[in-house]
Amino acid sequence: MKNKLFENIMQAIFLILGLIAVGFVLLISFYLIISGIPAILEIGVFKFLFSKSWAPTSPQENFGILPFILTSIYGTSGAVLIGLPIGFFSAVYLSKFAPKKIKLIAESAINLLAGIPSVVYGLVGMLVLVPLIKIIFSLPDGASLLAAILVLSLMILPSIIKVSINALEAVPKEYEYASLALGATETETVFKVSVKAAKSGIATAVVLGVCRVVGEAVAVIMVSGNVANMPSLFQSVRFLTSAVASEMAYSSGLHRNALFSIALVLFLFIMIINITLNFFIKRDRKG
Amino acid sequence: MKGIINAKNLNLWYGETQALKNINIEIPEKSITALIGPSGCGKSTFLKILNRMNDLIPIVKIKGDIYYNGKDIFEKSIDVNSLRRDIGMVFQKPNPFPMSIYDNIAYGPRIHGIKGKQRLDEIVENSLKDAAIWDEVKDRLKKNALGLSGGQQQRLCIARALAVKPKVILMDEPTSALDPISTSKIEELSLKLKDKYTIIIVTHNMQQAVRISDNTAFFLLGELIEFGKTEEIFSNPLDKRTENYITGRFG
Amino acid sequence: MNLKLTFKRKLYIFLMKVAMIFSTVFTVALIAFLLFYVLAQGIRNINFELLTTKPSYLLGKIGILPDILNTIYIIIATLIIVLPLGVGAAIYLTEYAQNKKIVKTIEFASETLAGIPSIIYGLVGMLFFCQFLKLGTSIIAGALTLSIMNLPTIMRTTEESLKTVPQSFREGAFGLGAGKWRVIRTVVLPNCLDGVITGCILTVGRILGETAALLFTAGFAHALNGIITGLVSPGATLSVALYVYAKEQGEFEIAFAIAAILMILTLIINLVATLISKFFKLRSSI
Repeated sequence: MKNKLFENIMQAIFLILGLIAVGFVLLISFYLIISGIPAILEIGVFKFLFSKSWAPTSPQENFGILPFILTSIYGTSGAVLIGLPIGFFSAVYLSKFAPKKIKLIAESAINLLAGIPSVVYGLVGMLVLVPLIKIIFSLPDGASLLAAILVLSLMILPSIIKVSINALEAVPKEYEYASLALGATETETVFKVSVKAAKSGIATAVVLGVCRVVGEAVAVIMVSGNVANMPSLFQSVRFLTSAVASEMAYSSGLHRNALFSIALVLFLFIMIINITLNFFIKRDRKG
Repeated sequence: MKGIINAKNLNLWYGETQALKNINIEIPEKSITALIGPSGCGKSTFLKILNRMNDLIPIVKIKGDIYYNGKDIFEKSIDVNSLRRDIGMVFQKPNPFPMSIYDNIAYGPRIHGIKGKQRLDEIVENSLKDAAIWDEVKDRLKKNALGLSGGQQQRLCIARALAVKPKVILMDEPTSALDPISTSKIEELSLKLKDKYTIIIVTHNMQQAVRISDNTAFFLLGELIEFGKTEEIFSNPLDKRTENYITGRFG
Repeated sequence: MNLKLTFKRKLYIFLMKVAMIFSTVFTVALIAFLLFYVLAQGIRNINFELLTTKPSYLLGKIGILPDILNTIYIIIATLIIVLPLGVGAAIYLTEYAQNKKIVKTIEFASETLAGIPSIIYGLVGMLFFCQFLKLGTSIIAGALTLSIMNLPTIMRTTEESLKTVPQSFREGAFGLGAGKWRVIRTVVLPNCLDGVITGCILTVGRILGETAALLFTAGFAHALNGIITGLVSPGATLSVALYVYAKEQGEFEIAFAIAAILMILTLIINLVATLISKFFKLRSSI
């Protein structure tokens, strides 16, 4: 009897530990909603999301976050546009063609890339990339959307490459044999059969990369100049993440609440991406 | 009877182990040749080098020749991709690509540069008809091929092989993963196809060899023990080992 | 059959090969540049004094000892908090959970946590730990925030290794009349050590690299503290210090020195992670 009670207590403890993750998600959602909603209501949903000017401290204060939303979307798309082809072709090469030694070296290099802190990306971006952009395009300042896109496309590479390699390596060899037996070359086989068979895995890779890039704050603050302009490639811009990070320290009142609202918008972005990802994975499991 | 494929003094090693020993065989055109023998006897290995699928295994070493239409297939000037286009293959486990039925069939022709919807439609329809599966799939050509039953998938794979207009079709135990009804469908299909194609089939099922093949080759421990008309091999084997095998003494 | 490949096919194959090799070489070269550039810029600025002193405005000198200590404190505190939670949750999922709905909910929650950007953790950590629980800006508030962030990692690695514990081990122990908890404690837990260690290493790596979540929770002070005072005081970790020195103060030499240290630590962590997975694979294959 005593034993039974003890076992039940242990089970209850583990159940609680299991549910802690759920609790944390609820906690985060709860805090973001209660602190993010008031400012949105005060400013007006439409005005908040679609007004083009962010001027929290000017006498005619205005809280429009369209510049941040668009910058985040453009920045992420730009990073995918550059990172996806490079990551995709590297993943195909490493999973299907590379000699063992090269694969080993490249994979540890990519693991290193995944582990490098984002501040280090920011630092190198700030001191190498930004001056370079300034010189090449003869701009007054190289800190720009372009610099952010280039840094982000480097940061998106590891997730694209690693997850794509896994997906490509999981493709059954039988598909490849069938294609070769029809007279296709190895290259044709890999690109026309293996890649097709791995496409949902590759899509997952991209979405995971997008998740990392949308949420990246410090590296983009360091290279994007951090001015609340509407996005343009050679201008200084501010992302959703950097908007929160850069003003939190000195904001107060409605301004501070508006920053929480930005965080809420960012959170919703991430949730939408996650749900899309789950959709991909589920569709994949169904075949 | 003219040999479309001739092996001359063919030897093959996987690393140090010799898997084929001095094989000499002449496979006649537009007929079905069955390769039988216990597991590990070399029959599948022999089948796979006919379209050089062994190229994928780096440790394989070959001595001797195989002539296809009078040309040595190991010669440098031979383009392995065109060879495989001529000598198609159907695998043990049905392996349709994870694409639509239509795209599965059109895959080969597209690779070989055939374009135009009309031509591809035609090839798809003819191949599926030749593989006796057209009626079952004609209403769902755009559906994923993995939704078909195992037997249908295997006939689809045959249709896919036919779509590139091969001369020879290699079949590696094509019915071993299938139920009896699907098996008999594939057998019927093979009999129909031999008017136009040369078929070489590896099988573990001796009744199947008797039912469909014109000639039978018996392999044992990497050697070709006996090759001849199927009826004769099964009624009147010359070699004691062949007799032992077909009467079920081993294997 | 002597038909050679058509020009179009050859061109396609050639272009694909060029794209693949270019991309791989480009990626690896970029990583190599990043590594050597940071090390070259950083290592010459690392010296004994930098590593063993605190910054002093009076002397106009910068030392990063407090930042090193803060990093160590926050790693220890985070691991102490997150390990029982993550391992416990993984045990629940693999050993106890019967209700599929609960499992799905927990897994969804864990995936969601893994996807939330660190800046959001920073905000919520600030609101909840620093303000609501009145911990103030402190290392412990930072550690609590990082614990939530790293919970999914520990859960996942532990769960993966629990799944590889053969069912027969459990059955054997149950057969001897052991209760569930006893089976878990004596048979299951010792066998998931590799997952726990892997999880710890990944977590340490993430903590080393984390900035955004710590800016508003642990702050960016450089005071030299013992571990007890350190936990309840604000303090910058190496990454946060790097951010502050580069972004706010323009101290690029110090920033590169820290970057080089972080880079070397990342290399070591990757190496250890590989070695450990090899070691456990070897052990389990014997």
